[in-house]
Amino acid sequence: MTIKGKARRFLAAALALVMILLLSGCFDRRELDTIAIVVGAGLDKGREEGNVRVTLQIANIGSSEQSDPQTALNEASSFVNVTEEGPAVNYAVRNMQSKVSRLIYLAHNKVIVIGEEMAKTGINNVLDFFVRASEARLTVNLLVAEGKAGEILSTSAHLEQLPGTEIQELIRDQEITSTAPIITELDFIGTMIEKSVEAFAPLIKIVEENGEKHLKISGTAVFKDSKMVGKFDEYETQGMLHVQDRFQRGVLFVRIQDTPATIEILDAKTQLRPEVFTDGTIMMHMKLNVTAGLGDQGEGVNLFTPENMEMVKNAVSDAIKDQIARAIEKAKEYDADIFGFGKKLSRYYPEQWKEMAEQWDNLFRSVQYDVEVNVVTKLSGRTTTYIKPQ
Amino acid sequence: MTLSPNGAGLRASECGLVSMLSAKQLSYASALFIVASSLLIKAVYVFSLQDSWLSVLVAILISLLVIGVYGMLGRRHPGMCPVKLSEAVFGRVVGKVVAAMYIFFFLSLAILNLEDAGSFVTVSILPRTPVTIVYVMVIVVCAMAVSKGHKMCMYSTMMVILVAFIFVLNMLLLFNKMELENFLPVLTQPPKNYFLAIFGLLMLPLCEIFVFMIFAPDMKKPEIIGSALKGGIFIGGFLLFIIVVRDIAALDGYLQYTNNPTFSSIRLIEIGDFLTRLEILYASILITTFTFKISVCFYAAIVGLARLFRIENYHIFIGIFGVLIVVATRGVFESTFEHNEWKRSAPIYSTLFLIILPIIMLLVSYLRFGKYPQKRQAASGGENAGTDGGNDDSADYNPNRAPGET
Repeated sequence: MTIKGKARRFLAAALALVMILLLSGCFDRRELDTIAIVVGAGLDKGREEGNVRVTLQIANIGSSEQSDPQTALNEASSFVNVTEEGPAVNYAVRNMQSKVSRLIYLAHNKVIVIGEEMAKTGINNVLDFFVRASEARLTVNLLVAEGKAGEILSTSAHLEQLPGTEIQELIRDQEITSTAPIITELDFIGTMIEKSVEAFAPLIKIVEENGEKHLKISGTAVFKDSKMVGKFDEYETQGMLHVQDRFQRGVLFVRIQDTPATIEILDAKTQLRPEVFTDGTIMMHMKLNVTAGLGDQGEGVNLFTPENMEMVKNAVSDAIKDQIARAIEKAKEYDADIFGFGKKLSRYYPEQWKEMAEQWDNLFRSVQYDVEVNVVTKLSGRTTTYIKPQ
Repeated sequence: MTLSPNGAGLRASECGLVSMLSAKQLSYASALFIVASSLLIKAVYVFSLQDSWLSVLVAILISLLVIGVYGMLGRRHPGMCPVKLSEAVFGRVVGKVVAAMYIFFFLSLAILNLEDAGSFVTVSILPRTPVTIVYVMVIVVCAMAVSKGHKMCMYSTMMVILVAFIFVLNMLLLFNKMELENFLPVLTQPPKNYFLAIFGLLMLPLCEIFVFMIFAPDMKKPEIIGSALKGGIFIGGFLLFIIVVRDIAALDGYLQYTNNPTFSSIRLIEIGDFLTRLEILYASILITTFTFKISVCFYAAIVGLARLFRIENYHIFIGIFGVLIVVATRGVFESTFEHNEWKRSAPIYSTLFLIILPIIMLLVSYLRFGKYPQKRQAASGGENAGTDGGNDDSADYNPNRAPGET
């Protein structure tokens, strides 16, 4: 019995060891020095009709590891951009492999940038690959480039090592500026596939300052179905973000009795409630709860007094109402329900929605709305009045 | 039941009352069984979209009725596994045919579940690994579990608690991505869709725990197998409910497009920059629970076969059937498309074994044996059930218990 027990234990141990060897996934084992880590993907319209031009940004791990500040300037670039044109994204990416010595690895991709021309011709076909590929993630940030996506990705980064990372960080900054929406691939596809809501994505462009190229994220690309139909500037974007309850933090510039002031929006919550009247009029009730603070102010009246704070509240409320009105009017121009009004209706009025759904494009233009803004001011800053020379 | 007062009547061997399954252990084991398939459900979302949570609740309620039928069978013929049960109810010839059908069903469950586990691993984690390697690895572990017999169910409590903990953790981590509004509107699909969703849930994760009837002879109190399985439905159904609620709240419209909603929603977890890529937790739970599920089906098939042919030691079948399962799994579907097609008809296939046959068995049992089958069977003297050696010692604490096997 004891020998048998020992033999069994030995067998079990041997089997376990064999399994350790086999279970590590030998066929899919990938070492860091055999993979090409993609940190950004760009999709442009190809030269030939119907083609797509894929640019992948691959991190050059070797060079970024030994980045000594002194030698960094002379060194090889920390990334490599590879471009390939093809009739479909996966086809192009596979063809690209013949130019890249290492295996293209998508799991660490940070951004997908879509060129404006591409966006205008419809992007559902090119996004399919990024949804289907088993290693790609849906939490990737999606942007639309004003111009070519390839150019955006080859604009060298200033503070980060890789343009892909820089773009991701720029998007993250929108948490405190709210001048462009923060959109993941999942958000985008979720809104694109539904009839009751249209997709939107942040815009990125190259700006030249003092001879240096910088990337800038500002505004929104508005989609209808899968095609880009228009743009929102920063002002309209803020209004759109308020309606969607996506606004996080941001600043507003107002003039109160000739006093210039920057108002910080510290928090904004929107409740959107649809109402369908018996005559078929669709009404959207928006109720905003905004927390605002005084960012700075110029010469004029001291805004940091209880009476003047009321004026600040009114100014903030008016500004937000104007932003929302501008955003909704412009969206109606584009016939694109990026706010998800239709989705709200389908949820709260499922019966009526069935009839509305077919003619929603027309109905969207006739949607009425009212906005109620409730502003709470919060002390911000360490001064109680503005600085003025006596 | 704890140790019987007349412990002297116990067998001296290791198969005594002490190492038998308690109702609680069976409950947790069947809950784990339910969780395994819950991780891969997709059909319910296709049919009932954001109302899937309602379908789950209704399916749980209906499954309790179905489990009631199993429970009645278990009470009327305590300690009988499906093989013995069909022989006892339908007589020798028909009974053997039905028993053989059940054995085939258990075997097919093992094969289909192995296919499921294998395709998950190759599609989501290791796309270039030959799927046979995955099958062989899983089957080797299953064979080890099966050789332990019914003891494999004893430690599932720990696993269920672990799984529940991970689910709750996942849910908390996904909280920032969830929206309660995603549950609206309620009840807008055509009734047919709800029927299909509920039917699919009923057959695939919930009532499949019929397989656990194979453990009836190994229970301390075989009469209460019905309530033990109901306990399993409650625990497993609750976990299923959590999964479905989380997926709906987190995924919204994308729910219909993804192949594997649970996997997709866990992939969304991103807390800051550091707490990401938690799907490995999900993958390990899935592989573990599927290994357990396949073990149970594997065990049910070969033990059923051994009992059908009155072979004392089922161990001789482990190797040969392990190979058979791997080979059959290789050939069962040519592609994922075929697998998806099969998933539509799978509930109908299962209905025969999980609902129709048990109900027929119950009816025949009533017609043949009346209200108290134990007495009638005892009187008819080993004609149906008592042929392979009585269980004299257990008769001490349950005089009405039909002669079965330990």
